Amino acid sequence: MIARLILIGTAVLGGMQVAADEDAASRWAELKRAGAAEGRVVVAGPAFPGLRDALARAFEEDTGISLEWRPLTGGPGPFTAQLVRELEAGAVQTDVYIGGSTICYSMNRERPGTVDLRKVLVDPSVTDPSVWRHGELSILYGSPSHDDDFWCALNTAEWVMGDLFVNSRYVDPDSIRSWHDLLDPEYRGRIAAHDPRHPGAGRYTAAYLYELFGEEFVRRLYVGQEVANYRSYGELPTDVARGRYWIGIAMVQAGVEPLAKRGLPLVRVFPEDGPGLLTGGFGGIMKLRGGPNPNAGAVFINWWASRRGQEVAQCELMELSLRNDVGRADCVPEWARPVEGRDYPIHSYSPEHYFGAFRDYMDRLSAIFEN
Amino acid sequence: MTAGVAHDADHRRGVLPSLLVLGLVSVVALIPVIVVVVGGLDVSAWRSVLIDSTETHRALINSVLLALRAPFAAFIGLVIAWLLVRWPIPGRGVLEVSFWIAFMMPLLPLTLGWSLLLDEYDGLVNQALMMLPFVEGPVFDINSLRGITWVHMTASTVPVMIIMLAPAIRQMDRAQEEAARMSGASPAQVFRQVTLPLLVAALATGTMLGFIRGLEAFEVEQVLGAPVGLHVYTTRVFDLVNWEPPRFTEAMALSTAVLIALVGLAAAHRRGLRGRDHATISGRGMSTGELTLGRGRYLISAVLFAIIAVTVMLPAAFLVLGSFMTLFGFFGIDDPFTFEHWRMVLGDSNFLIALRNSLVIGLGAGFFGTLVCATLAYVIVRSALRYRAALDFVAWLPWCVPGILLGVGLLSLVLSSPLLGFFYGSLGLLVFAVVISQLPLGVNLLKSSVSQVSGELEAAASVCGAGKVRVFFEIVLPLIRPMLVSVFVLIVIAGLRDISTTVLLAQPTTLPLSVLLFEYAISGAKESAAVVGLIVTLIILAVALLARRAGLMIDKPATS
Repeated sequence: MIARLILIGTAVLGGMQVAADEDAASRWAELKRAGAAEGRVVVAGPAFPGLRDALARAFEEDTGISLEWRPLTGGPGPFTAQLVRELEAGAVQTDVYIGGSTICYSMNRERPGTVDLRKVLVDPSVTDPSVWRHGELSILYGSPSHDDDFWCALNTAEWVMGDLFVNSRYVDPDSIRSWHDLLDPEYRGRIAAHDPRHPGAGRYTAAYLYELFGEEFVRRLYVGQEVANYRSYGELPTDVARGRYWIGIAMVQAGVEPLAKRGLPLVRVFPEDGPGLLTGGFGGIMKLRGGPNPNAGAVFINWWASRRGQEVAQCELMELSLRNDVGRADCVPEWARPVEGRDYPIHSYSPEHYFGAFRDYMDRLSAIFEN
Repeated sequence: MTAGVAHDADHRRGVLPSLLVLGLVSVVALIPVIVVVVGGLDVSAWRSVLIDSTETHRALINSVLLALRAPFAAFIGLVIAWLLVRWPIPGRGVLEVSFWIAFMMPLLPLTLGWSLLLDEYDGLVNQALMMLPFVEGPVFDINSLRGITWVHMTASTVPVMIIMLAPAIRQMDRAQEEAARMSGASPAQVFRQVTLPLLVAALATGTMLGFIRGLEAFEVEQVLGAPVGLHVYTTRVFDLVNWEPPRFTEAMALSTAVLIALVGLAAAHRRGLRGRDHATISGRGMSTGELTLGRGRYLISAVLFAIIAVTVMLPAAFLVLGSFMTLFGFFGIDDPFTFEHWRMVLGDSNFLIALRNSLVIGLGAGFFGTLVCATLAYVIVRSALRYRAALDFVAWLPWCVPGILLGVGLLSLVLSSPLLGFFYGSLGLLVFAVVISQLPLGVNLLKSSVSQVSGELEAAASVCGAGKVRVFFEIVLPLIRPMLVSVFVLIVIAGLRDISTTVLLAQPTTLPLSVLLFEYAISGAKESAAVVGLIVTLIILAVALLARRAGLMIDKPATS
């Protein structure tokens, strides 16, 4: 009797699971049909040559939806600023944003600016937790305009930030053993960084240095050494490779690797007192509220998080995907891959860090850089 | 008594349409500016951006330093224009066309060409000079005040002065110069003691226009200056608008302060010109021919051709080279040249969209702008409307509004007004922005043209029963057609090359080629920027040469 009950129970549960799977599959199919009917999707993302092409080609091939790309040439700041005004005017022009996931908090600062991803992620091959590295989807929860269970952004990558590079023609990489070595007067006016006053790699690296060494070090480094600030991820490594600056802080692999592969003397340095900073990089994705193509936008987000989308993203952005089933790790430079067993003191995209120490650092850093 | 009442009634009838026209033009031309001024009315913003910020102080000082090139450019332009107009120099026609082409060419592509030559680290000129035994370090640095000044002088400021001053010289009575020459004065003495004093007013105007335009410059400063922390007022505004969160109030406060200074400068200049005798044409009969020159003319011709070769051909040639470079500026790598960037840009659907957008913006602004300018010019010159002087002033005012400020104003306007929300993200907004920015030039050129049409022709048409609209379309417009077409061409070219006005307004679907080029340039994809820059340059050259071939230009070329 008991065995029969178990059998019936299992069958019912199995049937429910099958029904749920079929339901999810049909919702995904329905969404793809609706997205295809819209025909286009507008995606904002980092301004790396080749990224748009690769994404557009693969996405259109898979879904029949054409992709219009809005490159974030000035970084995420200008885009967020414009989005806030577009939201006020009810004239949002973009469907999806790809980039640092914590920008989602800025987008929702004054009014709800993004859509809850729980309602968007429907592709069973994406929602299955077992395909993700930590056994679950990496979600950035909550926002200034939403409850804690709101899915603000999906993070799809994890890698070690390019905190410190040198041009080996001018600086012996082995001579930099500590971050404090950068305070050498010889390097005054010879260091460039991604701008720590704006969202992006530069801000996270400055906060990381603040956490490791305190405010005085950050002041002596950035202000005392007259660090040049760049907004462009492409121009910063180019000018370090060219020799305009000898040392580069917070460079990203999509900017560095095309130059390094051509034999330009950019060398990653790991100071002993700073093992690196874990980040999600540009792997965050969010759906914008009121975008012109809501269904195509949702299709793109599911596609981006799928195996195929992540393979394209991993190779173009050179960031290690959080999906287990994505091959081609060779696309990601060795220096950006987290080392097993190494303790990274900060994961820049963890809400604990973002809403905790990071916010405090930001206030202090603003005071340093404004004066 | 009755006559007095009738006069009052006429007066009232005249006031209403006058106010309507004035109000309409003011709304179109001034509202974006008013939005900026009102948006900047915040004492704390004024304090933080104008008093407390050392970055702003440095930016304002840099703006003034860079704008100070104007008097030098005016003088060089005057000398070259005088040589071209007054002396029988071999190849003069070709030279004048070359300077005209230089005047039309977009700035940013030439800037890229110059950066390949004069970059402090990889510039070919520096590398060549450093091979000399007595040169130790780089001699030139394009990313500096001197470098930016050089780019502006060669690619824009001097050619503009030549084009602007040549007509004044051409209209000048030659008799005094001839008399001086016959009295034994050398060409240099003639220039110094006769020509220069006669053209002081034109020179002052050129200097003032150049100074104000210098303060408004944006894209060269952003591409060359911003990476090394060298900001000017316009790039500082761009920076503040793009802050996260955006610092609109401070951007508008800074813009308002500079706008007040610009309007003050321009008004003072207008006032200074008023009431002075600047006549270069007298009523005694005039001689406008050429002076004689010996073999020195060949030397002068060679020098002028060399100037064209160095300032226009050289950066243009390196722009072409740059478009084929694997990594822009890196000549020393393996396989330094490739077709890859051409393949990528031409295969990019964004490029085709941008090309279409550029053509729509250029042609749309050309047609719409020419019609608006012609109507305004006609109303200002011919109508009996009251407040015509005020209308003239309002139509001229956008001239001293920097493009970036106009963009900020329009962006704020369409995003804050529910009725204009539909305009956001449309090509119409970009067309509108270009038309406003070109209003002063178009109206002023057409005003002079309308003034030359005798009022008798219109009176005759009216007597025959034609209404005012019919007279305008069937009598006035055909008679001023050459200038109409010239204004059309100038606005089309402005629409094709504009960056500062449209950069904040363009969306992915409305992005024109010029902004695509700018975005490539500031995001480190200079190879792709070179490809797009070359294409934009070729399109503009084609338009300019077609216009020239059709004999359309503001000033007739000298015959050689």
